Amino acid sequence: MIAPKPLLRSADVAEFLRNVNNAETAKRAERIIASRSQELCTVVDGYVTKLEGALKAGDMDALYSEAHEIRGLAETVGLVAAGRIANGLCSYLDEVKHRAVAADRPLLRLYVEAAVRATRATDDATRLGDKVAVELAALAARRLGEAKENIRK
Amino acid sequence: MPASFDYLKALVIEDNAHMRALLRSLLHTLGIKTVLEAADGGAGYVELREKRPDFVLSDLSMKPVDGIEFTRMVRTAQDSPNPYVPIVMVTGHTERHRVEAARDAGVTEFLAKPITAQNLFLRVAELVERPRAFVRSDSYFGPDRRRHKSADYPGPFRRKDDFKDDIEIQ
Repeated sequence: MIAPKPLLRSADVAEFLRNVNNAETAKRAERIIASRSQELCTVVDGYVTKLEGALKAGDMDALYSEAHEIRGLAETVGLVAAGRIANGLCSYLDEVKHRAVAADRPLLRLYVEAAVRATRATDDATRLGDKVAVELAALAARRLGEAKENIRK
Repeated sequence: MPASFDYLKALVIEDNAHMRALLRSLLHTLGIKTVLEAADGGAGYVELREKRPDFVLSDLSMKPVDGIEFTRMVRTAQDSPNPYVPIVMVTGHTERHRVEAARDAGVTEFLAKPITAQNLFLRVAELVERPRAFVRSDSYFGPDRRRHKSADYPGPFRRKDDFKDDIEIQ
């Protein structure tokens, strides 16, 4: 085993950890996220527009890439359902690639439409979007199972 | 009162400029004043060589050089300026094979997106409070991937360190 050089002098570690655990630090951080929230929601909206474009163009790489951006940013700014739907789409596309099977077009359309609703709709629809994320994940798993069965046959 | 850890330098490698700015601001709130930035692993490696950050937050998916390749370069390249630098992989990828590939490249910690301030702070605190020991074998160099020591572990005992308590200091 090799022990790496510590990041901080031992005398500074305690002060650093006090700062990390300080309630005021947490509040400042939350204020930073809140102050950028509007701007970041607009950015997520832009990714969703590109997601729709990628679906229309049938560009699977772009579809994955935009969904990946959405899942990375959306939940941080409160678009929880959009983030989870995008994560489900990424996982599905990743499995499709991994198993070398064709992506199910209606399923992709459902994912993209759900992401659009979850990003742009008001509260009620957002809650529904969360439910849709769970249902889509179940549907994706079923479709992948069917694809596996077909390969066996 | 100025913090006494002003000398700590972070490097953020992330292709999304918005996420980069958010991470930079959050690190500032911890009192880390110097936050270097790069948009992909190649540019990040240049920053690492020229400015010697103390730790790195890196995204996984980036072009042309992704976070896994960056980590491999840092850990194993002949010209790596600091093979021991802690690397936190900030990723939205939850797919097991990607996470395993990052771990096997020598990532120190993972931080899952969506980012929350609390999770980011916990990871940085972990780097400061409990630096991970490194191991070197024929096929791997990087932080020890065994997270826990179990008294009930039945073996196999393949490491020299399984038979001695001594550790080498870098």
